[in-house]
Amino acid sequence: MKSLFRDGPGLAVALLASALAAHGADNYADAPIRDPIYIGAQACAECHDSPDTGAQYSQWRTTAHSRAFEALTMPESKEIARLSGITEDPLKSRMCLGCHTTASDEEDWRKDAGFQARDGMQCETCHGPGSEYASDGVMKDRAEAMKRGLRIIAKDDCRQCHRPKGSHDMVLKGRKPFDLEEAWRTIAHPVPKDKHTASTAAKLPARAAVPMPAATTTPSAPPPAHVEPIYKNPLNLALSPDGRELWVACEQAGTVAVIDTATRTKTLEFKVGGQPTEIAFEPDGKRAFVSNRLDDSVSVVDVAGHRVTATIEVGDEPHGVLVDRAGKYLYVLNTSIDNVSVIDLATLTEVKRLSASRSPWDLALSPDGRTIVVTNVLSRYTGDRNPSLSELTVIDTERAVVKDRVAVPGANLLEGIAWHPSGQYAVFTELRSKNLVPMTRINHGWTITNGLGILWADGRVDQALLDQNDLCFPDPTDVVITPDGKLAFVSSSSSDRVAVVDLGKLTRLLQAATPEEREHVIPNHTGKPAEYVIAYIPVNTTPRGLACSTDGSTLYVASKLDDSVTVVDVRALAAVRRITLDGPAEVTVHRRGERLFHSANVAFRRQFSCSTCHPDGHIDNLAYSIEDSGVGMNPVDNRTLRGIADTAPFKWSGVNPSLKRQCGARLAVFITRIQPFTTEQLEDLHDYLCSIPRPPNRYRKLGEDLTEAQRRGKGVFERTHRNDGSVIPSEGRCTTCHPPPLYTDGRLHDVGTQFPLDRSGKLDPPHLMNIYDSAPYLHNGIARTLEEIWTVYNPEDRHGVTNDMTKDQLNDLVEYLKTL
Amino acid sequence: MYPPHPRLLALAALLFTNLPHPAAAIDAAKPAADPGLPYVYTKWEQLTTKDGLPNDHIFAVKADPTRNCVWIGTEDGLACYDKETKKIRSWQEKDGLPWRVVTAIDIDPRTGDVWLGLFGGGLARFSAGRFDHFSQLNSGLVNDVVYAIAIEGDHVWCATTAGASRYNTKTDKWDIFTEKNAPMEEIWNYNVSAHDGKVHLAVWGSGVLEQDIKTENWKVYLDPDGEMEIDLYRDDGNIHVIVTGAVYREKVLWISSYFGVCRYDGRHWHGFYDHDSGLPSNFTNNLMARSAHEAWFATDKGLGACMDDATNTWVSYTSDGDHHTGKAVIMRDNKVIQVVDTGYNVPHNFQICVDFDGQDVWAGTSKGLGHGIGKGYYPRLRPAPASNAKSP
Repeated sequence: MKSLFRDGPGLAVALLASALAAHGADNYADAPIRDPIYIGAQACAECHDSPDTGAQYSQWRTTAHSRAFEALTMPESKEIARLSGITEDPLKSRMCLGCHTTASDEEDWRKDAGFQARDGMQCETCHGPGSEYASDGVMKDRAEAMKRGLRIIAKDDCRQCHRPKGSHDMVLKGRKPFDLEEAWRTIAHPVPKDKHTASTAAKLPARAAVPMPAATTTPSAPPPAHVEPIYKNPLNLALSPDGRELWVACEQAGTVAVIDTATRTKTLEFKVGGQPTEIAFEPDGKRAFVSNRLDDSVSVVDVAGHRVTATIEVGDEPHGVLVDRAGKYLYVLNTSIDNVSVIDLATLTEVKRLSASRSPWDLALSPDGRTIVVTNVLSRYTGDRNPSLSELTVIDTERAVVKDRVAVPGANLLEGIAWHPSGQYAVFTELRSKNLVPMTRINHGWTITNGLGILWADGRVDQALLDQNDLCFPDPTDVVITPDGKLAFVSSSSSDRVAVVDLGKLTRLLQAATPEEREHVIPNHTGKPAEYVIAYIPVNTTPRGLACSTDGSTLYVASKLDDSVTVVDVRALAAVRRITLDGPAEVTVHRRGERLFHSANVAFRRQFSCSTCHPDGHIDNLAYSIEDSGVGMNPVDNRTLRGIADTAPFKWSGVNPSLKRQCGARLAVFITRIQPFTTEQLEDLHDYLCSIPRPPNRYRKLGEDLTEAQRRGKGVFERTHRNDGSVIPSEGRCTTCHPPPLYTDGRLHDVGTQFPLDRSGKLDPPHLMNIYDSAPYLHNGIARTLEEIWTVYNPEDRHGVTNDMTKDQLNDLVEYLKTL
Repeated sequence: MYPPHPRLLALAALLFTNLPHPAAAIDAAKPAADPGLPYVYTKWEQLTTKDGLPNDHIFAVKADPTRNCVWIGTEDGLACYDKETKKIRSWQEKDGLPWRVVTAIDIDPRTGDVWLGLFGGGLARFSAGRFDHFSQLNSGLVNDVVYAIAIEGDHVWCATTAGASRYNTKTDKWDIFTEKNAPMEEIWNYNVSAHDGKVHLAVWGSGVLEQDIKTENWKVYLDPDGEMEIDLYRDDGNIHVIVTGAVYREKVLWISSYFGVCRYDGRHWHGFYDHDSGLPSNFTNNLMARSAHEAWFATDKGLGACMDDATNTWVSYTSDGDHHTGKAVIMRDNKVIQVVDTGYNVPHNFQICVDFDGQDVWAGTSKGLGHGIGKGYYPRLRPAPASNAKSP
């Protein structure tokens, strides 16, 4: 440690003890060592605001640390939060509070009545909760004080908060970069030298360093706060049973827009829950059900009155909804927890959960009403270097149980599905990702191909492409079939088109093919689609959900990033009208970035967009070998983009210090293989990437205390000693590489997971926010569950000291990690 | 409304008087004060590897009325016997079964998912043809040596060699119950069952632990005599702390152990031993209760059925596998009432598991599966008609 800390601030803390003693500020004296609690800066001030101590308290009051909490009330903070993908008020966000007040993640019982969060980053941020060491007698004895929780931090510890944050830089433009050395000098709070005692100085540990909270650089003339307009973001459509109304789920607005199909205009809009996603009508048309992905609920809507009459709690992130033919059960796909809620419509209560595969997405009822087929976005886990194996989950509506699980080899991102009116087959959208094939190989459709699957009534599956040699059909998202069964329409959310598939031609092609051709040739043949794709219809930006009128004359297309519905004349196979949903006219930077994110125009052959591998800003569950060779040597797991604004550096190797660099020329060189984004585009995209929100944590809702198991797990996460009492070295502790509030320290670490072909074992630790929903884990995606990280892939305790833990300790740790 | 035609009445009377009594197989003269005789299974069939089972060591059996089949856990695979087609389908590790030894089976009545306890391999869910594997390495399961499982609402309980686990299928949360958070002196959980709002853990060396599902409070049933292998004070409580099973039916708890079996109605305990009842042996591997008055016990010397607890009336089924013969012995207290020639019944006398299937009964043994066909089954006792039973 530098001399500054031997002689300066480090000594000062030792003298805090004598100062406390002198003032007798000792409400905690003679107490046995208990769980320490936070007593607040005011308690410290009783002794540390005198000339003898250098008026340390008053000195701290002049720093930005004491105003850190107040800063969260500023408009700039709201903008920073928005850019960070935080949907709640910064004053309530655990992520913001982590660096803006002390003990933000601690439960209330760990804070004394005198502790005030509004005092910002206080003494105990750096020195630990003071209840057990702040007494007269204890503070005179450095060793005893440290035994009772006094912490002496190192300069580098400031970087837990003071590290590059894209969101802050974007809003607080012009502020000085953080200079650790300068900041350390600024916040030094030594006791005047003549107040030192030799005895206390001698007891200082060699590494002692005592900063008060580091000063945040004051922003110079921050820009005025910008309020992002709320767009509609129509996702999916449903026609009322009488065909008179088209209901549109507007994800961002939290509403359902109602369109009069006769006049083709929006007639009204009403509120439902957060992020409405899909809509289902009862067969008699009296009630409709809207899944609210943000709220984990379904809104029950009185159709005639256009009003919500009840709300049903379901599982995590409900997506597809469907009512059975008898109107007895509502099926809700809980896409984030991989199951299906079965709701009794008589009582509006959930009666059971059925196991789906991974991320169930959409569902379709067979014409005879006896079968529901569910698509699953993510492949089953197949292990290292094995191709995808996705699943169609088949439900028997009579018993409301899963009766079959049809495997779809080599496919992922199964989304939209529709039954042919004959009941002979269902058609679903899919991707055939070639993530295990070298990116240098361009035949058979290059890196990702886009297509359709056909599930025959007997359980067989065929696959066929929608990509053609010169022009791909990126991100097929939804599919509908005309009532006469002749045509299927498929939306391409990354190319603003709808493909028209002649189902007669497609099925004849398949039935005429040999088994070998059906298994190996047609699923990969970009020359075949010309035989059954008869047209591509341009539609408005980012087409998602589709609906076809019962007479088969009209197709409706939800254009998510255009806040509109495109009307297509089926006979003419052309768009004939744009129905506006009355979204904001302003096209913001964020909106432009979002459109870029969902556009395949940046990729060779227009084959994929950013959202292809990051659907909903999240993961596609695949490991890709992109760099350096591009020949499939060392695939790495795809990481989520949710809430990553402040988690620099990027990539597992940590080579990209910023998202702009990540998405700049490097993206073009290694991934998209054509012209990179322009500077302006990159700014737009960066804005969007910095603001992809994380869903609310399902394991610890806002304001909830930790459960007993989670509390025990927190202790394990923060432990410094093994079960046998021996000290865990710093590099073996969870919090060293995963410090709060983001739970990543932004530095490279080797945790012993290097594969033979990996260039380096040093990896960027991912942030742990919402870690429960981004399996698989580790850089190569080999750990299917959180448990496996330590039970299987940490034999030498290099990924934290964990091998002494009991099974229940590990369970507790996992329970806690899920709350982050 | 017209009265029934006299000829019809006569015909009905004739039919009823000539119908064989359900217990017609029993042949004994009924004493005047005789409380009656129990139903005896006289028709049996056997399933072994010759019939398509993957292995003859039957560790688990579970009837599945919804699918009209029976699931069978063996030492080397899972099997399903279709009662309509009489065909057996099986799954081994090569077919995706995560582990070869299947020691426990339970079926979620709401989803139809079949849950499997795997001896050394953890837990598996077999759902519409897909096996999902949960182990101590990839999940919160406390240990991979799973002896028994039980479905309770959204939970799957596992009795393992290192405690009990409870898995919430809705939230993916795991709980562990060991000596740290339950009155479990030993952690070797042998069995678990869930009925009527209670979960019972049978723990080797720690008696029976009862959890009230609503309150999650525990109650423990130990042997008041300590670990002695004799029941020092009769009917004073659980007969031993080394228990192998506990099943709660109609507010009555039935317990099996290696030292006899017992019954607890919430107020009184009643122990049953091989010397004072029809229990074939005190060494009892498992049990299944059918009601408050009837429970079947899988022992090392045959299958013992307490058919009426009030009169201590039992039927024990044993066989001679070499000669394909078998008998059922009706006993009351320690007296043999009748011996019934059933023909070949259970395929082996070393019984491992038992389950009910409507009127039928299934018995897993160390050498195949026995199927007792209970046509005309009746609970408890009835006056005995003339039958083919022989007095001893």
